[in-house]
Amino acid sequence: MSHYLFRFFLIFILVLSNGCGAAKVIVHKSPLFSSYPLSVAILPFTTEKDGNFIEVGTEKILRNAFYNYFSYLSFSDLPLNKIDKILKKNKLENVSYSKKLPLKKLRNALGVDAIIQGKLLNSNNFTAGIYAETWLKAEMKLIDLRTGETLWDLNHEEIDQSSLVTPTIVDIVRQQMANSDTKKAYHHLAEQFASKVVRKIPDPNQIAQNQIKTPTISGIFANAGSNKKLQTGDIIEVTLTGTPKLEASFDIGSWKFSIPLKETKAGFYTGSYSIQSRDHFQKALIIGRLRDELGLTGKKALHGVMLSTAAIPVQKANLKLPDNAKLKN
Amino acid sequence: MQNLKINRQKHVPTFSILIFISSLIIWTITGCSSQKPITKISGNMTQLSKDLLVAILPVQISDSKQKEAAELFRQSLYANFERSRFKLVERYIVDGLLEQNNLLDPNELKKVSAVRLGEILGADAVLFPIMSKVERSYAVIHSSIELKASVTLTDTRTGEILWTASQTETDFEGIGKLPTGIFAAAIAPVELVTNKLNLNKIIHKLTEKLTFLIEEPGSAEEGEFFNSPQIAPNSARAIEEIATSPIQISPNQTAKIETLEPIKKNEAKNEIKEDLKEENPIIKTVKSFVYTVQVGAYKTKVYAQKMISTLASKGYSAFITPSKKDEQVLYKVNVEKFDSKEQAGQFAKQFSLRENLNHFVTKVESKTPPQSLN
Repeated sequence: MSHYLFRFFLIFILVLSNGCGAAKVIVHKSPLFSSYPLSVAILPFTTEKDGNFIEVGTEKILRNAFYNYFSYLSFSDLPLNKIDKILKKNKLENVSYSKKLPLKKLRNALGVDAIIQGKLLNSNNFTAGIYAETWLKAEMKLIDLRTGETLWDLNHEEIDQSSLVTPTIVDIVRQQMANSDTKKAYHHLAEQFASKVVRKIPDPNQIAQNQIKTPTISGIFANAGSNKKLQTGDIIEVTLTGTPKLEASFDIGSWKFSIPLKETKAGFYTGSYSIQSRDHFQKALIIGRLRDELGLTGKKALHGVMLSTAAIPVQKANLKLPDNAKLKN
Repeated sequence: MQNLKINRQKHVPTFSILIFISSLIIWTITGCSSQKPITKISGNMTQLSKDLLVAILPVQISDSKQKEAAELFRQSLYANFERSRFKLVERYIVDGLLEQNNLLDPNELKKVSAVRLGEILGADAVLFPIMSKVERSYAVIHSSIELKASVTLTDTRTGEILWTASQTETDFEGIGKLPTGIFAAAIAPVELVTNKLNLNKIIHKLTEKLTFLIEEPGSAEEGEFFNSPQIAPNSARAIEEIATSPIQISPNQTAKIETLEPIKKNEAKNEIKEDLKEENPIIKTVKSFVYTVQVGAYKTKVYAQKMISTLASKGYSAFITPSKKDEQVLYKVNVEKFDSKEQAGQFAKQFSLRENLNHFVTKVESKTPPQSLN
């Protein structure tokens, strides 16, 4: 009986301590404050070198996975490659996790209100006999670059392991095999880490949504009609009116993407496209686009116009909405 | 003794076969089972620009109990799409813009054409995710979770379905597995159905398989392409309506529009030069009022907003103008703005052919440039 009790407690303790616990994020400032930062850059993660084992490159895997999940939250986040380029250009790539930050310099260079710093404390991948384990431990914090304030911080560890206590022999074998592919094992664990952590990070959803204002397109005009097949050399001229000082472009169906329009006067954008001999499209709408610096986009389809080219080689035309395109039931 | 030996010899193969079959069944049915996703992509997928902007819509569900799984599914879709070649409209922007347009119910989104959603969200393609099954069962020594999800990616410029996929993922614990300990056999089923992290893991696995082809469309096999372009029915209708609605006229282009022909190279150059010489003709035509088509008037604002939502889902640009009559506020619902009565009348004729709504042309104040016939 005591033998069974011992086994029960052993399993119970292992189940509890197998690294599947929820992440704990210590929140220092609520995202309900209207001053809460909405634009964030995730800096390269550093590593804790003193006395801890860290597999080379795992901090990059964790940063990528974290970025992919963090983008779900209501922040405007800079792409990682853009951040790295900016930091390198401004000689800021070696910003320390614990020392004083060059707040102003970072803010000016990155153009964001806050940064996320991460430090990998431990990473380990081990497979031996009936035991397999992958382990990641890291801490992270969100720092307001305008005030230097830490808005939240966390310290979380994630372990994926299998051993005799794993429910089935099949699971043991399967997990041993999965664990032996080190990069894949770290990648999967980093995703688990990121997914758990992101669910606990405060989301400034309400204030972010209140600030959404897409560029307005008040009108779109073109010199083309639907009753004539376009020939090589024909020029489609498009004029778009709307919010001034933005990036404007237009599409011809899905055939021509983002043909630039130039702002000739405030809020008055114009541009053209000359039909090439290789252009073959059928029933394409002209769609105008206005994009602001945050990437918010306004779109509008031009009414009353549907463009088609004259000569359509059969094979290519089949890829682009032919007249007999089947409707999905 | 000899008989006994003979009997044992006869039984040994039967026993071995039994063990072999049992093992085979256990190995076959053990653990996380899933099929390859049923997926189809358009031939255009590999040719699309890497700057294509994709909006992942809220997940459609059939039961409010599926909400948690649906949220995890959408989060996982975002994380997996980050690895694709496309750019994403951020989730809070999608949700915020849908809310601004009174499109709060994910199940209502399928009624709105992709073309219209593209205009609302500024996206070049929209992803409609559906979580059709989230089933958890627990029977002491056996438990299971079954998830079924599907997605459809539609081009908002053409209404073409670029990619569809559906995937079922099942995981179970219990007597179907070979327990290494009696307690593990008892704990595992409980843990599987009660632990939220297991749900997350299964959803993550499902999404990873589901989105494999979107990350690497070049790896699609022959049978995974649509035989012919597939157009979403409501988008086909919306495009047809856009194409047949009255043409928008830029005042400086009136002469050209009459022929509805594109300008030839040399003519175009002269035309552009002339345009630049002139004052901006479109801005110039802004008046203190515009013409519109009024389609309703309500004492309750909510009803007017509902009407706006219905009209918006059909692709109309509708708006409310409140007015006071006998101390009572009346919320008037108007469709489109025009800078001339003739244009509004022309639109009203088209409108009456398409919609069974009483309407008339009227004048409203405008602080913004009129939208003319668009």
